[in-house]
Amino acid sequence: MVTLNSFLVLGAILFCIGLFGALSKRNAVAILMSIEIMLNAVNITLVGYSSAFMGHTHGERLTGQIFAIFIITVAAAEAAVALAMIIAIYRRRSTIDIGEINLMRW
Amino acid sequence: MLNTPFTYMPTGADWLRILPELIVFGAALLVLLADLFIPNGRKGWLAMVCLLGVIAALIGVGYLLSNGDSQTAFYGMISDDTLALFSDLLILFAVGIGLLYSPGYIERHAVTRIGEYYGLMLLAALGMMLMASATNLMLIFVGLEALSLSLYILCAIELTRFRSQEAGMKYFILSSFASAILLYGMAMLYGSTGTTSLSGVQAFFAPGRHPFLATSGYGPLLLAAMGLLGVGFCFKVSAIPFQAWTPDVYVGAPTSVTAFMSVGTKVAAFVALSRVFLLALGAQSDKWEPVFWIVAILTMLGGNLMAVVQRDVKRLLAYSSIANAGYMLVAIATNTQHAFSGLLIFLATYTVMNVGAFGIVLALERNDGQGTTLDDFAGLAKRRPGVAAAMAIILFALAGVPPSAGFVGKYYVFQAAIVGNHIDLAVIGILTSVLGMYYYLRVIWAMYFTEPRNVSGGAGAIAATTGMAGEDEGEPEPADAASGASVAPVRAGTATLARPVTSRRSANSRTVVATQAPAESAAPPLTLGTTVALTLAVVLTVALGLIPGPIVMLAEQAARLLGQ
Repeated sequence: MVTLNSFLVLGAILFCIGLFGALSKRNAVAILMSIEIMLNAVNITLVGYSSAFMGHTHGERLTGQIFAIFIITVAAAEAAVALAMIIAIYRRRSTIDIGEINLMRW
Repeated sequence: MLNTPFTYMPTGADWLRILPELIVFGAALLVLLADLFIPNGRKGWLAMVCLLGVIAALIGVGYLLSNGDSQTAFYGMISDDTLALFSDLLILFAVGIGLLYSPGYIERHAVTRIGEYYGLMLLAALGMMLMASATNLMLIFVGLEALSLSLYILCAIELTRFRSQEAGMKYFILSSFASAILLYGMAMLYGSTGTTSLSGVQAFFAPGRHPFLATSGYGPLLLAAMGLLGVGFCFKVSAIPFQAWTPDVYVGAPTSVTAFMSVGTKVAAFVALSRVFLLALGAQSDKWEPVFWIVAILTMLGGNLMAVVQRDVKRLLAYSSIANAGYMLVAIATNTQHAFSGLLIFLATYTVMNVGAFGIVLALERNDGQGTTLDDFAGLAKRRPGVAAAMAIILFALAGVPPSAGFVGKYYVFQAAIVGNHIDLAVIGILTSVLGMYYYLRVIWAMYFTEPRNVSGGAGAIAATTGMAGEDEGEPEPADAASGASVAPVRAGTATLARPVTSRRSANSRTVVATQAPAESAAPPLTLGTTVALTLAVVLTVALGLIPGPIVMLAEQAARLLGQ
């Protein structure tokens, strides 16, 4: 039986995996992937809540699913921009290690 | 009832309420389209199209201010209340000034994608306006991403300067990370209230609506929602401890973009933060107020302390923008209608001062992005008295010296804090402002009371000597000769807007420099657009200080939203 709890726990676990990856990885592509995992964790959470709100009105109940579609769209645009930037950096520096992309320090 | 399909037909009134946004969007599309037809030599016209679009949008804001109905549109997604129009005004002003700076900057810095540059400037402004006008979490997110995605590209648009790409990359990683956290917060808020509309959330917490809230609160879910939302917003407004990206991005991004984004994103993020926390979550203020109290203190102290040790003026301004975010957070932590109008006044004054300050940096910056350290400012008053005077006025205003815009902003925020029983915040704010005075006045000291030192070596010196040679031959833009052939077509392209101002003064000062300190003079003369923009910023900085009345009235009208 898939209950709201299953959705939320899965979402939380995925979010934590993404969070850990975004903080610990040094490869720009891996960081991008981690951020995408975080966004998808949010999607799962939203859809989970949306399916749990059975008693509410139609509009409110669908909000979570529509929000998830917005997030999917934005995540795609974000990945496109990020990959373009990563390629531009790789062409100049031959590295996508964010530890080495560091000309500016205070 | 659940089986009736959901329908909502937008009416004409709905479209009218988003008039400024529509105009900016139309102008952005027009620019991207016109870019295909305008030959490479004439891309300067694109800036003209953008500026006309911004002016038209400002007229649209004016129309809505006098004739608008302050209602929400599109099923409660977006509103044309005074708060939204007030922030539209500031954002449009910032993007207008940024666009005026742009032709001169593009011309000098070999930005080859000119059509995309202008299109993205307008789309970033559109995202900011949407975020500030949004009355639904969903639209706040869409606006935020529209502005962020445009700004990532704008930061990284200088393909020949690696710092620019580094800034874009850093901004992308930290900003999208923050967006994900913010989104998780939104999902939690949706989970605890069942709606993403801000008025719906507000109604959910209305007294008596859900009796169990009064006794048990909403427990961990709501706390998690507020925590994640708070972290996400603190990233966006660059509050300490989430400020790490700000200096690098502001320094690395093209200066015309920095001038615009440093104020535009602040306005959008602070207005959205106020809508979410002050308005929607106002009933839960006992839980989030202490957090913002701590963050405000940390940001004021940290921002000012880190600014003190900076030697580069562009970086100093980046830290000063963090410190200013701290003063704005004082208003959030105070959480009264009075403090909210103080926040809006502060945002307005900060906007005019900061676009001016970055404009000066842009005017002095050399083609390699160097030339903005304190040593480069030494003796500036003798070399370029006009620029130095403008910088002095703006820095006095940023330091909060009366009667300037900066003083007005700080006065309203701190006065509201004292009235709102947050004397501690006001005292810390005033003490850190004194600290701020030290580093602002140090720049003025360098400009007026020190002799230029011959410190700039390497590329700067070469650029300078080449520039001098070019000047002797009557080249209109001497410093360009140093940055390579790639600039040439672009330079011709923006000639319409960016005609160099060959005023007597700058010619004289450069002759003096040629005999005294040749390595310092590589910064080219101001373009027409930059001169107009700087004049506008300085005049408004003084005017807001002398006659703050209109902006204060508008801010108080906008803040009335909180009292409803």
